Amino acid sequence: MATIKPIEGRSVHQIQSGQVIVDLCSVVKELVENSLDARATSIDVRFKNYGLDSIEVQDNGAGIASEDFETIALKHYTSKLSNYADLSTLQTFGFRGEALSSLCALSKFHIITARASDGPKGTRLEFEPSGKLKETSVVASQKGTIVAVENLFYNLPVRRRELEKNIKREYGKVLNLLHAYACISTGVRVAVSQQISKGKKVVVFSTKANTTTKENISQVYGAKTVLALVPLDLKLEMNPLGGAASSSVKANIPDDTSREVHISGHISRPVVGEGRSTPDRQMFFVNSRPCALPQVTKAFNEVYKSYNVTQSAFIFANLVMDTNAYDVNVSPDKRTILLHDQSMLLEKLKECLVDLFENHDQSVPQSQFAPRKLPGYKPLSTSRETSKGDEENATRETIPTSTEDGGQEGNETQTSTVDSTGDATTQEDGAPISFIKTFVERNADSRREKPQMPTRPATNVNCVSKSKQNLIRSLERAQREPSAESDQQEDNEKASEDKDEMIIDDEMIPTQEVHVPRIVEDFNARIASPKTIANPQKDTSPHPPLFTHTSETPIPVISTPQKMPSSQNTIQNAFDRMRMKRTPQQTATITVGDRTSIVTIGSSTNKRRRIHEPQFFTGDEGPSSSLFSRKKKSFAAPGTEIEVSDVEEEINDVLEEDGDSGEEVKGSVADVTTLDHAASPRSDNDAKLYAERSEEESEKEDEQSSSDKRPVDADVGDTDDEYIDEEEKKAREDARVTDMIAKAEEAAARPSSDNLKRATNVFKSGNTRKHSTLKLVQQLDTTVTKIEAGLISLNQAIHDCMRSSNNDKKATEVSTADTSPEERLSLTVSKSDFGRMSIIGQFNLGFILTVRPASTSSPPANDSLGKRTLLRTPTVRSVDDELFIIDQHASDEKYNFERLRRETILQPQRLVRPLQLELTAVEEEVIINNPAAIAANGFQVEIDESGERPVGRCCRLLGLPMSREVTFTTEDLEELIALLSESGTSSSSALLSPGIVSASTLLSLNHLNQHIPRPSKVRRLLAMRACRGSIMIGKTLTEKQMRTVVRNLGDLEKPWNCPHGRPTMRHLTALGTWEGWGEGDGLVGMERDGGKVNWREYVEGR
Amino acid sequence: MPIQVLPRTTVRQIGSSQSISSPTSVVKELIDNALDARATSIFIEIASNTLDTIVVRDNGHDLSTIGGKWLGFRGEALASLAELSGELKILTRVEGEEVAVCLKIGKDGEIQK
Repeated sequence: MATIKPIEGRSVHQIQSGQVIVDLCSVVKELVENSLDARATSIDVRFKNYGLDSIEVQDNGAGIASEDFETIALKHYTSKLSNYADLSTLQTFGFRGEALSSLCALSKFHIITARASDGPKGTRLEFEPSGKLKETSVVASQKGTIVAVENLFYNLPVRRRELEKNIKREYGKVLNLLHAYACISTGVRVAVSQQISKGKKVVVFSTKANTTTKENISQVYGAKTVLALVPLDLKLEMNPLGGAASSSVKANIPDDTSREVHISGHISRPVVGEGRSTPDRQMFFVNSRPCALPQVTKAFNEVYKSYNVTQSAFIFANLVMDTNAYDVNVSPDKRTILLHDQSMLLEKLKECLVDLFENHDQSVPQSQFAPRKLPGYKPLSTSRETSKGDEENATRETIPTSTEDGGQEGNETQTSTVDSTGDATTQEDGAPISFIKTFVERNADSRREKPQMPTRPATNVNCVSKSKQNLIRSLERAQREPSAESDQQEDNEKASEDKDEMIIDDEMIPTQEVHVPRIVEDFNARIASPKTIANPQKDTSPHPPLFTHTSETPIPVISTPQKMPSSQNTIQNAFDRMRMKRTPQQTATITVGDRTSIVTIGSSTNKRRRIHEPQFFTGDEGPSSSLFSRKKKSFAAPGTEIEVSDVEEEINDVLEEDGDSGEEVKGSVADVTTLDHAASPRSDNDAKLYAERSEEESEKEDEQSSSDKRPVDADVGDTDDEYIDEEEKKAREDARVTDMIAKAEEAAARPSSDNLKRATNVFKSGNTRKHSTLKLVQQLDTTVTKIEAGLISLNQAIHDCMRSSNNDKKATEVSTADTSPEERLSLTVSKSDFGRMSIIGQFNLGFILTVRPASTSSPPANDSLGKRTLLRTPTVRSVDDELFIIDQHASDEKYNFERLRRETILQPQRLVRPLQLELTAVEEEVIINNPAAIAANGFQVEIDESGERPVGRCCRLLGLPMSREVTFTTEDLEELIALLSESGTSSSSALLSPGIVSASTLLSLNHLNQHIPRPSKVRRLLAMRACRGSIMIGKTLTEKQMRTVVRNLGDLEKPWNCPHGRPTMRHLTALGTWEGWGEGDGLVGMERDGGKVNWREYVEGR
Repeated sequence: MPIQVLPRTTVRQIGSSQSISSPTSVVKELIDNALDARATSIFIEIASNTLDTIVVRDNGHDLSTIGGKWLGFRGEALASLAELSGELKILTRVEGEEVAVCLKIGKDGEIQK
């Protein structure tokens, strides 16, 4: 024992094998790498019982030549390397020729392989533990190689037991490793499956030979993961080493080799909420070789943390560099890689990362708040149209906008009715068509412009395109067909064809025409066959336009029961969805006054008809009524239309929106009463449903929104009358409805609850609107010249806007190709935007509302800004304008904090007796090298440079930082030292003479060296000070103050969160999608003005 | 490229740079050796750039007497050092001998002198 003697051969083999194959991971890794090295495009990894029983890796690679069978598993036999010098140009994963021999030594091991030339015949190779070929046999096999490892570690009992004990964890590690390989291997299908004892084989994950790592990631980790990622594409220019490299080293590294390191991959968005809670998904590759790069990992995480304090990043980084620039041959598993010039690489990497993140800045979760559209709204608008059409054509222009916003969104039935009435009037005039056209076109334009709008990340471009197509089609039809409504309906039809897509479309696209049409569509589909005859007869007499309309579209088909949205959304999408589904619903609910009754609609459709019959038809359309009765069933929608028109005629009064709704209600009531008469009860029900529904919606909306929205109709000036009418009607309705309700109660129960929900929601929404505040008082201090100047600049701005919007269109079209939809949809804010934001006002004494103008408009200087707001001219509003809410306290606090952190020099308090510090040599170096940072944090350290004292005892602590609230100890100094040593060696302070530094040098140093590490206690102290000194919530701010706060944000290093982590800013809404709002709704001309509420007029006018 | 055996030198090089990957591992291996030799006193001198020279001196006796746990067991460290260093010298004096022996070891692990 004492003497030195060679280890016996078998032991050497085992020792070395145990080094190469240490655990499950290394088995899988070696085999997968072999497959990749064989240029396989499909790799199957199969575990049995987590790999305890067997691990099989099958590939479709080149296979093994028969002459290699003998040597394949011998140690140090390889095809990947011929001599040591090749290491520097290595392109394969493996190179040592040890893996298979090691596996032979540690497991039952066999290979089945077939080359392309062998046909369907393969060879099974069995090996001895030494790696010698034991026997071969012929088996059936496809081209490629299957390597099977069974009973791993059967001859190493301790490891075997360890493996069994930790198998779950080991298995998890293996999967992580496989994830890495699967993600980085583009063009390779990787499938991993697992079979537990006799159980079923389960596919763990698989990729599909994707061409990009991004697709790989989405298949391995799920598509959602990818959404939070930003591409990583850094080029690090590595300066050639200076004199540091000795000549001999230089000789080894040819000068012509590329010194550039290219880092590609993906990383989480540097935004709170987009990261991961644990750093479990961080993969690093060097030239596609998965490896552990602790230093690089740390650099990534450090930078990321500074942008997203609470989370860790998903990192997928492939360092592409010259094969000379690193050394793989470090550890047996090749996971450790020595990077030459690592420190320089890290420095550069951090710089680049910071750049990247800066550019990405904050992508704010975009507010999904959208103006709510209430179904009841529509009837109002429609009635308006009709009334106006009858009365005056002049008002029409205004109408379209209102109808667009409110009416189109509303129920189908309502729209249809509206359309019919509107059409009739409009057609007579001749104007309506063009009007409608423009209307539609307008939407189309807006849609086209909007694809940039960032509403939904996941939604597809396709949807948009579809919607566009629909639009185009609809436009074409509109041209052909006089009635705008028909167009809309068609649109709806198309939209309904793919409902899901439609929903998406709606979400993405603010215009709501699509929604309305759906119901109509349904109608059409169902009624189509039976109605055609009936329609012409009926319609012809009263309104020619109705005719066309009905013939085209109006057969209501109630196909799918509506799904009632359980919760009203904050989310626009959800809201839209609710709506859309609602329309098609089979159940109809009638709300009259307080009562709501719900009826489920059967198969047939003639709801309206009946309603009409009793009251109106008898009077007006006596002859047609018989026809009607026959065809009642088929006509659902047309009936409603007729009803409305009839009612209008009868009433003779100018029916305001309310009036319509009221009429409808009446109609419905009539239907109910006439139920007995109706040929088929179902049809009645249906009719009721529609009527009810429309009524209900309209009523609700009317009730709730009417107060707000009616004012729009102020032109008419009949508001009082309207109200009265409503009341009367309601009273009547109530009476009738009670009967109805009695009958319908059973059916009503379920839907009514829904309705109630809806109603409450609506109410709520109304309430919330009222909370919003406005800046009502505007002080004007101006001169004529100023105004003129402002006007000029405004015109200029408008001009620019127009041009830029045009450019935008082109640009977006071009850019859509290369930028991914997610990128386009997410909203990003950069620091410079703070400089461009215009201040709207203060909200709740705690928040500042700002508008970020569309990116194209030139950033207004402060002066012009002021002018703009002063002038109160309707500013040109672009689709890209975004409304933000900024926390005044958090913002100011962050500003103060960064200032304090930069400038504060804590006052030291001298210790009575200097404290001898016991430091390691490294720590001492740090102190000597960073006197400035030490002093800035309030520590006084005396350094003995005489050299008399032993290393580690040179420093004495003279003073500790002093603060009222906090007591500092030497532990804080230790923390600071740790921070300093982490922050890197590049401290310019080394230039200064060590010792206690004067404040002036300190400050100057601060400018050089922006970042002074602050120990946690100091940081907390500074955060506290910053907080106390900042603008508090509840403080009224002048516009100037607000501007200062906002502008300050732009200068900050990281303006996005206050030192305590609260966000400083949130996105409220995109103004482009925003049409009117609660309090302003109904104000005359508001919407026409392009969104800027002219409050002065409002105040004066009222 | 067919599968072929790696030249011995290549195997040595690959293996050596694996087991000795940095000056840290040099020092570690040598200290392990010293401790295995039951040294009671170990001196380590390292050039400031950690590359030029590394000297580990111990007062241990040889490995003869005591069995038990060794820190090293593979017999790779010195061989790897020989492979990777410009010059490996071992100066040793066994207890009871009058003069020390200086061994210069070449790249292949053979004693040169």
